[in-house]
Amino acid sequence: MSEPKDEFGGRASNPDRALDDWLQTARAHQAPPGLAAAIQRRVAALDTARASSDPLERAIAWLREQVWRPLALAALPLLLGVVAGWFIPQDDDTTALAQSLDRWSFADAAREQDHDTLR
Amino acid sequence: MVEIDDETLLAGIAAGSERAFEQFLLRHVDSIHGYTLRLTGSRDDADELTQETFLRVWQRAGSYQPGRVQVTTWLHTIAHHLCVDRWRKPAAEPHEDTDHVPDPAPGPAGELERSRLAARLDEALARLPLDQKAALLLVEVRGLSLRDVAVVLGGTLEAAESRLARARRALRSVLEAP
Repeated sequence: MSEPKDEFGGRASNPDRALDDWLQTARAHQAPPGLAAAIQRRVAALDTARASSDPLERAIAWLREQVWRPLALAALPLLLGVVAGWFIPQDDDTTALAQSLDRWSFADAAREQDHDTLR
Repeated sequence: MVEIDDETLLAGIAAGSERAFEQFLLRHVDSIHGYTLRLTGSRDDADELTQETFLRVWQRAGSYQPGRVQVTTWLHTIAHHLCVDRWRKPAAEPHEDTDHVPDPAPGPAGELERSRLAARLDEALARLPLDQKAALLLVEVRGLSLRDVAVVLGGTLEAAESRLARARRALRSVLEAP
């Protein structure tokens, strides 16, 4: 089909043609190069964030945030031991046993001292 | 190579497949960027809204219900809602970036005249209300049906038809103006 020509032999101005051209340009639009890659990077970052929603990883990340946190965690069993020992009831038998042990230790120490003196 | 349909790709994305997402992205990024660019008139906004649209796709692919609406309609609905949210923000970007680039070396008179008309069409589109602009772009550029437009814009079929008719009239008046 031949197009209408202007006086210079070019395509004549035609509002419908202008509209068609305009729509054609819009349909043939291309996103900036690199946009798709940028989106993929953001999705990968989201994926990493999703992976770190694992409780163990979150706990490790929390511990690594401050120096005192792993130290406090390491000292926790010792502290628990002290607290537990503080509250364990001291009955008579336990006290008597402890005193006997103390006496025997003292007696052994005294005997060793006598032995050294005699020598 | 056999082309995988959009619904299968969305199912893959819902299952966490980055390969499915890449294919889906490359298939639709141009059309979504074109839509958001024409709707907002700002290249920066279009870049950002396109990114947000596809991030939503990645996060919510599982919410797509096959058979209810077409994938393209679903995708444009996401993009449209993001554009509406952006539109409501007070500091909107000026409408300065569009695809129309004036010919640096104007050719024959007919070409020059068409270029001038294209610039006027861009301006006329920028002046249209958002819903009319969206209706026109979805039907004339993206090839969606009026029913799909009603889904994207969230109104009735008649409302979509009316918006499209008004948008067409506005553009026609630009073309017919001296």
